[in-house]
Amino acid sequence: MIILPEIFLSLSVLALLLVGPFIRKKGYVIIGYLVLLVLIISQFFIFKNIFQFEPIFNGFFVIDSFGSFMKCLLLIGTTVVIYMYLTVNKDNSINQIEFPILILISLIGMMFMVSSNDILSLFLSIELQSLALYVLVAFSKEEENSSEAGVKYFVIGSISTCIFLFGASLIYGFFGTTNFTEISEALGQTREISLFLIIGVVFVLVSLSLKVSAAPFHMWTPDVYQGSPTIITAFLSVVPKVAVFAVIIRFLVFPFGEINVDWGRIIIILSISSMVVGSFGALFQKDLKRLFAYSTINHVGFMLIGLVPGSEDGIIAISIYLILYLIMNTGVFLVILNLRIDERNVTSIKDLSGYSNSNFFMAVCMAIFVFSMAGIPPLSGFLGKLIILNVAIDNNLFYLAIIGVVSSVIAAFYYLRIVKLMFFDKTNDELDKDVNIESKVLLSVLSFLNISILFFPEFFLDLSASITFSLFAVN
Amino acid sequence: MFFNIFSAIIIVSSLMVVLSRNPVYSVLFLVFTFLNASIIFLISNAEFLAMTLIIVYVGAVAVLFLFVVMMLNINSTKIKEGLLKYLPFGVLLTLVFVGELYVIFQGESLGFVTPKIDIEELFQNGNSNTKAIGLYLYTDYFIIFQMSAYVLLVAMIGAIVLAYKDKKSIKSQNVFIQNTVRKEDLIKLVDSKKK
Repeated sequence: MIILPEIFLSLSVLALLLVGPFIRKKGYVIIGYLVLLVLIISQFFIFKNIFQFEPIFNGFFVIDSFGSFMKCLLLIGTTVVIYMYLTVNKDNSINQIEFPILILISLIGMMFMVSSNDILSLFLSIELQSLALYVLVAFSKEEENSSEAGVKYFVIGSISTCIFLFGASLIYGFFGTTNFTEISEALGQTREISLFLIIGVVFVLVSLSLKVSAAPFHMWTPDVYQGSPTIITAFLSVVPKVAVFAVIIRFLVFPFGEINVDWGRIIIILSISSMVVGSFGALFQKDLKRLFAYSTINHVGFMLIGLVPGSEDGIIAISIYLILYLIMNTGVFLVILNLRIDERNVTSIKDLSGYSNSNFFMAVCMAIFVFSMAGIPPLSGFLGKLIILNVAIDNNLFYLAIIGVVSSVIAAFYYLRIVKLMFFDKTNDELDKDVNIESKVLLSVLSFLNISILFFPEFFLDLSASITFSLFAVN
Repeated sequence: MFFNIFSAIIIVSSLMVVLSRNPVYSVLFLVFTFLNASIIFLISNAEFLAMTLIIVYVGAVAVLFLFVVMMLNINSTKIKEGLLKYLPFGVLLTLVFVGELYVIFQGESLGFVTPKIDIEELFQNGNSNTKAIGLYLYTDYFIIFQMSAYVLLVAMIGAIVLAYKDKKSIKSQNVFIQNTVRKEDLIKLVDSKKK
């Protein structure tokens, strides 16, 4: 059976839930390693059929290489987060067996999201992933901020759900079906596009941009990022973003590719406002997590540029940017997780001051990630920005390219401020100096990838080209 | 005929939900409203919806309401105070609903099409309403059904995780140890003059 990884993951969640309560001591460690094992096994399942195309479950899901590739990214991101949870995390309030299991459930929801080919299954999988995420955000019972963030995230998520359902009902009313393939066929035969249909598509798009925190709908992002446990912030900023981006791409490009002009304008607005908010909002932040929340918004705006033309090269650019974004962001959050004062995690920017004197290796790694995010040439972030800007210029979207460049220059200011603090300011002696070997290994791998990817762009271009081909081949 | 009787009862009892002085009576009238609504469903051959309405709304939701109303000592006079204040808004909502109904019964097309699921076909084979829904739910929509079950599982886990308090953090006394404590274990006599 071809949807094996999801079935395998779902069954293993049930098994782990059964086993969990019977483990006497340090259950979360054992469950965490089991989750890691399960993730690696399902990665193999996906590799096995990465170049297949098949609609399954009566057309509710579709297996194609675009979806499989996104699932690979999701699995890698989750694996890194679970690894960080097992090795780096010292926050005792989240050490329960349910924590890795809920991450796994959220991952299942995201994997269903990526491959769903029907509005009904898309809705249910979005609910599955966000319900698990609400609990994870509010997980830490000792911190008030965590519960506050959980409530905020829950309320915003519920509004997003309502908007999604309203849009979906309009689309269903117009076509009489919720299946993407049937919608695509019906849209090809329709002469006149009703206004209700466009309103429906825009509503679904608004709901999805609430999930991906694109700019007019970004308000929850800094608060939730700051309040939730740092490990969940790392998870939130990477994995759901990849999944929702994949959904946006599939939803807009596959069934509604014909009305590209209509949703293209909305994407342009989302993109410009995200880039502006992401670059200006972060300038005066004092908390690292808040700062990187705005940095995420900026990156999302940048990625949305690639979606505007709705063509193959844009999707290729977004796929590459997503890979690079995953590598950069997990690295940054790994460093933030390692900032501790008396075994307590701290996230203020001031705590980074003079970090190079107390821990040179970590400071250099952080500098690499931050430079990469800013898009400084020898590092991988440059490649992503270059390809996206290339797409914008190829499609005569010069103003988008100019706004993109200006926003990255402004964003470079706050990235460089972090570097300046780490290397040229007074040393903060309170910071704990010991960093365990596991996080050093992971950091070296991530920084190596950040340095080296720019030298092998053909591999990533070919990879993304072959996976996005499947998205357009059926059209 | 039957339809008119039951819908009249529904209107009266739903007015009583709002107007009755005792909150417990309000909830009981709500239950009565649901029962009559399910009878209307039965009249229009939708027995599955009728049963679900009774099981879900009467069995779970209304009983929960009743429970909450009985547990919380709600001051009924205070609730009544806002009635005039909210009346204009209520009238506005009613007008909107009536307007929507008017649009529907006028049959003005909004460019919508009829759905493709052909439930009539299943009825013609002698299937009952419930069986027809079951036939769709467990075959074509099987994966959706399973995923909904999974979402409910997550809700259950989430509720337990967020509400459960570890026993270690609760400072309760162990009765057995408390009873076997002797004076010598707790009180130490020190000669203060020696120092």
